[in-house]
Amino acid sequence: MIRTRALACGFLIAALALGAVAAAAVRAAVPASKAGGTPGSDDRAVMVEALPDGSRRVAHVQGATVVPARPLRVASIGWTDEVLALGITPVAAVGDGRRGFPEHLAERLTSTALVELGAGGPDLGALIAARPDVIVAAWYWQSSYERLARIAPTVVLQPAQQHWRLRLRDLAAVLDRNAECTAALEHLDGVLAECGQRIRERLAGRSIALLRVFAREYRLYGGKSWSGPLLYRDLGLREPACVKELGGKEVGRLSTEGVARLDADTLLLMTEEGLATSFQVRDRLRTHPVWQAMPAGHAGGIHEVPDLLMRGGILAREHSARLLAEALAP
Amino acid sequence: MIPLAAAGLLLVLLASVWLGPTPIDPSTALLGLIGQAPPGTDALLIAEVRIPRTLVAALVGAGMGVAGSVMRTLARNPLAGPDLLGLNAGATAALAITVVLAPHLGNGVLALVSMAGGAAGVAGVLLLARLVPGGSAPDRLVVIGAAAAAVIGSLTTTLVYAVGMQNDLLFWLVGGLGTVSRSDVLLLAVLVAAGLVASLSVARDLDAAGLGEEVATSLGVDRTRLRVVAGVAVLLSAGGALAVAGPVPFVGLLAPAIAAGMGGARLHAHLAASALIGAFAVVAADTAGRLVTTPDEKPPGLFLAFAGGLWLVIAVHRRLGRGAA
Repeated sequence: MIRTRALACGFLIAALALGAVAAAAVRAAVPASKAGGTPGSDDRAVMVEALPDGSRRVAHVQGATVVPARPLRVASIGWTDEVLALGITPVAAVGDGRRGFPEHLAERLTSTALVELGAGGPDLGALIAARPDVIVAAWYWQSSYERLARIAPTVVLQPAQQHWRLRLRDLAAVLDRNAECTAALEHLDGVLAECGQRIRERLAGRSIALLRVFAREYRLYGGKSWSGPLLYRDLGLREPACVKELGGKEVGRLSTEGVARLDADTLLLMTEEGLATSFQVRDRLRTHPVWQAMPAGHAGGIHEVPDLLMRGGILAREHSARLLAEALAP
Repeated sequence: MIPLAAAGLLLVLLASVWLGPTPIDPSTALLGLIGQAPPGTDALLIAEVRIPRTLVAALVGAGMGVAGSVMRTLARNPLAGPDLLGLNAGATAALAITVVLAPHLGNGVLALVSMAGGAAGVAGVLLLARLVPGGSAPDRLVVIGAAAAAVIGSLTTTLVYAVGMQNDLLFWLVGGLGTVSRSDVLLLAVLVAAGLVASLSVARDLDAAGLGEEVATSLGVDRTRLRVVAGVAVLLSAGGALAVAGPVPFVGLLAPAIAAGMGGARLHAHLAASALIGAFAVVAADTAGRLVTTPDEKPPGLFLAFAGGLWLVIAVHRRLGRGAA
């Protein structure tokens, strides 16, 4: 008994000591790993320095990389939408899970090699075969950085929901496409302004929210989700109280009662593509008495939308804005 | 003890109908219970969301309580509940696999799947216990069961991440009652009532079996019949609950233990008390889960696992203490 107690005390002391060491390590590591001050993370731009031979040195999340001037053969790991928006057809790009290239990009990627993503990261064989001049990788795959950098100069950028404009400018700086970037943003702003005005005129101040249906829960997307900035900032639509209530959260997981409390005048309803359960839940929800009691329910303010709205990217935003304008203000 | 448990259950039932993310006037809630609330959103919420959800929570808890009581009596082991004999783990794994293969199945079919999975889980643990020397001894049996449950649980987790359906399969790891409907009330009422009736029909034999094999044999208990009927009772009570609510940790362990602690040697009374306490626990946990954060909800399993784990530590401490004395 005494031995056990001594052992427990020993473990307790060890736990406290190791905990203190771990806490110190975490504190030391946080600025680097969360990359608060690192170029190419959150709202920090990458730092690009021109070299005498025309190439550029890029300081990014994983370090510094020398990128050739105006590279033509670009491989994209997670930045395909943005690379296309800058007028470059990538020589290789990762797909979208098991579905190949995302639908809204597929027709522009017919000559691009599809890079499979395995559990250990992107398929390096396909990348080598594509002989890229430069690889741009999303931060999710930073663990593959060492291997990628052996294939071609690799720049890692952290996707930024709020600062996607900045991130596009970063990519443009890395790929030496600054003029194309300005043109792409101007084009997008034009589309957003036009669609936004069209929708705002039709909605006349009525609020809007995005609800996604899963097998056993409903999710309401907040102002800081992927779709939030598009709806409430870019298109200038009104945020209902139920979305404001989420505060800084990206998503609220709702029960049936949560759905009954949705005070949005217009509700965008998203089902999982090709998932029978999702349609079933949607149908069950639509026949539920609380549905009729919601402001959007009895005003005929419910519109089904595809999951394109959940995607980051410049082209995805443009497609989404056009799609919403078609649905809400035909 | 039964009146006490019933009174406690009544209180949480009322609280569950009254409390939630939408503030409802207590008088409206009371009137809503008898269908007399003034028409409006509150009346609709009470009738279509809160009452069905409360009833499902109560039935889930009662089902797990009954299943736990029968299992521990049959095994003559206070720790031999659905958690530690592989029933919960087996059912959850079977449900998750089925949802991947056939996502459109309704809760009725899922209840059958859950029973099959639960039966397979328990069968696996009992088989394993036979293979391990002395594995049927009460303490060893639950250790084997806990180990098997951990292995089966890891398979479920692996599946959730392997098939890339995390959003839809996460439910089978945490459970919840957020989207239950009136049809679930009916399904569970039928299954739990059938389980309770089956349990009561063998309660006398179970009582005898609880006194030891020799006593049971001398009292003329047909052991094969007893095992079959008790097994069916357990699967009926717990199967539907797990299919509708997902994992419901520790209720099948905790409710019978508290019921036993409150006294009452006869299994009839024990079953009733265990059902009431199980219902109390799940309704209380579900109500709490609705209140801690809004509009997000927390699954009741969160609170149940915490309370159950704490109790298990205390129970083991007491048991070992008694053994050493």
